[in-house]
Order: sequence, then structure tokens, then C-alpha cells
Amino acid sequence: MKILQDWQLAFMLLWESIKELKYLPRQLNRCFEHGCNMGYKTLPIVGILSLFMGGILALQTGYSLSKLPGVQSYLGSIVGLSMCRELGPLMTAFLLTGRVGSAITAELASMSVYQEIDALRTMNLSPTRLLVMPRIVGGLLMMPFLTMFSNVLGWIGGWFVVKTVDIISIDGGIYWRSLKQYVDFDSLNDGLIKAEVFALTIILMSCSIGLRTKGGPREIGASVTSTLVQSMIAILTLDYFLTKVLL
Amino acid sequence: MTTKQTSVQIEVRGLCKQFADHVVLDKLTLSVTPGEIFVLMGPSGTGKSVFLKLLAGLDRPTAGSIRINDIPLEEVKKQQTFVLGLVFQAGALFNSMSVFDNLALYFREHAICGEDEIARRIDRVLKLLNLESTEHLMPSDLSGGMKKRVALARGLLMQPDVLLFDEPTSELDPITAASIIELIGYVNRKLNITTVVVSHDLALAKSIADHIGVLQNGKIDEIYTKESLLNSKNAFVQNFLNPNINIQHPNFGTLLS
Repeated sequence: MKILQDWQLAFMLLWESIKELKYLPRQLNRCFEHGCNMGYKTLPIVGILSLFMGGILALQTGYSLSKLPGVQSYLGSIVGLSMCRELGPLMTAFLLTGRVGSAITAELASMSVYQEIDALRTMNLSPTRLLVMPRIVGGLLMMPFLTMFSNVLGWIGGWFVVKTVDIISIDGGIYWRSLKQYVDFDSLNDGLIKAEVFALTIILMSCSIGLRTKGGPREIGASVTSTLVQSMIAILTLDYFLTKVLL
Repeated sequence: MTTKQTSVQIEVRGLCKQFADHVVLDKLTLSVTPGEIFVLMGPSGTGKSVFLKLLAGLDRPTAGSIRINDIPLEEVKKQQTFVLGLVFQAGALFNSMSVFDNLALYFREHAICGEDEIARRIDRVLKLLNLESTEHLMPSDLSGGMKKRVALARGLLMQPDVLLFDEPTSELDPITAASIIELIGYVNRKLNITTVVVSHDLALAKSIADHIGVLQNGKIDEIYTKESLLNSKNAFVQNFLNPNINIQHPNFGTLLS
């Protein structure tokens, strides 16, 4: 089965990358470059979508809670916990897949098709050391910042709805107090653990599929599609099991 | 660039490569003597590039062995006993890097020497190949011939014991092709590097080859010199060198009607 084979090959690539970590000091520039590139590419879209996600969540939940007297004061905690435990990491991971995962696959697949990977091997240079390991390190360094940025923007989106929509009859101060009361370090930490696992999965899957691409431009396109599909399936599957473990 | 003190010998014995049911190389056996230029010819799709990939250690044979100075190729690659430089058909330059960075990558990643020495070596090889003032250009800014010369420069900078060329004159105009042929001969004479060229360019074989093999059904029946190739009695070789295309063939009429 292709999915299982892709998972297996991605796992083998992880093992190879771990073995290449001893060359990390010489690859620090590349790690930093990839990390910045990933953050720069993803930050604006994460910001916009998180703002609206938090707003929509507050609007839907606030409207439902308005029918139950006295419980609207919990809106801050609902938006806060939903964002940091689930929606922040998940949405950032989906955006990372679309913006970064697809770009990694396209770049590596193109390098593979046009024999640049073979050229590296001829020079006795490991593609894993030069192309995969720095991306993994860069992605793992950047993902917590992106996720925290998403969480905070989501909370601000929720607060904006509380402030501006009449059917939600609570004060902004109550929203923030409720959020602060329930969102603790453990909740944030759980979300960040998920985010790191998702980032690792996305980068491994996109590198693994990209490096194995053979053929021509059509196969490069097929590889990008495959990365998107496989990564999303992997993210949702892992999310379920991680949620069970971290609850 | 320094002349190799001792050139290496390549021994290929019973080399087979099969993709699913398709046999590309069938018990191929040949020997390339130290410092010579061996040209492997044959029509498109006969497995010349596959052979070169096996020789460069980029793919594994289904059966058979390749030995360099009597050391198995896997050992050579693992221990880095000898350096094999491969000049790819399309150059295979790293598109995201400038010419200078393409050439410097090998030195930087293997930590062979400092930046000043890298710049000095690159400057020297670029002058040798008439590529001065291209250091800052990107591969997309180069012509086909320049890309091949930069790829050759990259191969030479590795100070290889064996130089492999995949279709070095393909997609080039006759003048650029002639200059590339001349360059391969010059590098071989000057540096005494054992060279294997895969090509279907007869002009290349006639001007620089010491020995020539013609790949037919995954095998080489005979090793030729420049002179003996032209006088070969082998019908396949004769047809390859002097193709007899019958324009009166009935199928042409059907296709054009």
C-alpha cells in the first residue's frame, strides 16, 4: 500500500537525518535560512486565518451560549483552549503543508529530475545532510513561533468579536480573565508538542516524496499533490492519537 | 590542476542491468586502460547512460562487477579511494547557486581548503576553460555550451581519477561541440585522467578516442580503434555509422497521406 510505503520511507529518512546531525554545526547557516524562509512565507497567511478563525469561533460559540444565561463568561476560555490545544497547531500545520511542504517537494523533485541530486552523490555529498536535515531543524525551530503567533491572533480575533458584536453581551475584560484562568502552561505545551510533531511529519513527507521523484515535469506536479494529500492524512491521524495521549 | 602520477584502470566484468523484464545491459565486459579515452557509442536508448550511472556508482547493477585498480566500485565509493567525476548531459548544475558557488560546494562541504584557496583554484580552472567572469552568473544565464564547460570545471576541481562524460556534445552547435571535444582531449592529455565518454557523436570518437565500443543489445561485441571502427565488417556497426534510411519505404507514404 502506497501510504504505508511513504510513511516507512519518511521514517527511514528521519533515521538518516538523525545520523547526519553530527554535521549540524557546518549546516547552521542553511538551517537558519530554511527556518526564516518557512516563517516568512507562512507568517502573513497564518496571521490572517488565525484572526478570522478566532473570530468565527467566538461568534458561533457566543451566539449558542447567549441562549444559556450566565455561561457566556466562559467564552474566553473556550476560544483560548480551542486555539492553543487544537486549532492553532492544526491550522498552522495545514498552512505549512500548503505553503512550505509543496515548495520543498517541488524543489527537491525538480533537483531529482534534473540530476542535481545525482550530481551531489557523485561529489560524495549526502542529499540528506545538505537538503533534508537543515530543513527539519529550521522547521522545528520555526514551528513553535508560528503556532504561538496563531494562538495569540486567534485570541485577538475572538476578543474583537466580543467587543463588536451585540449578541455577545460580555465585556472584553471578562473574556481575557476567563481566557487567562483556563489557558495554562500545560495547554500551551500540549499544543506546541503537537505542532512540532506535525512540522516534522510535513518536512519528512515532502522531502521523502521529492527526493524519490523520477520522470519529468508531470511527475513533479504529481509529487506535490501526493505531498499535500499524504501530509494532511498524516497530520489528522497523528492529531487524533496525540490528543488521546495528551488529554 | 596537477597531472595524475598514476592513472587508474577500470575493469567491467559481466555487468547486467535489468528494469522489470527489460534487459538493458547483458553481461557487458570491457576494460579501460589507465589514462586512455574510451568512447562508448550506440543508438539512443541502448543503455549508454545507464552504463555510465553504474560506473559512477549512482545505481546498482543487477549482476556483474566494476573494479577500479582491482578494488570493487562499492569499496571505492565507501572509502573514497579514487574520485570519480561525472559530467552530466545537461550539466546538472545547482540552479539555485551561482557558478562560483556551484564550483565551491565540493570544497566547502568536504572542508578541503579555505575560501582564498577555493577562489584561487576556481579562478584557475575557469581560465583553463575560457569561462572568466562567469563566476557571478546563475546557471539560467549560461548557454548550453557554457553549462557543459562549467560542469566540466566542477568535475575537474574534484581532481578526479576517472572522468565520465554523458553525451558531452548533444544539443550543441558544431563549433561549440568541436570545442568541447577539443577540451576533453586537452584535459586528458594534460592531466592524464582515465576518461570514459558516452556518445553517439562519430566526430567525437574519431577525433579523441583511444578505444571505442559500440553497444548493441546490451553487449559490446568488439573493441575498436578509430581506424578499425570505420573498417568494421559488423552490419550493426556499419549501419550505425552509415545509416541507410530508405525514404521510399511504403510506410512513409501511409504516414504522409
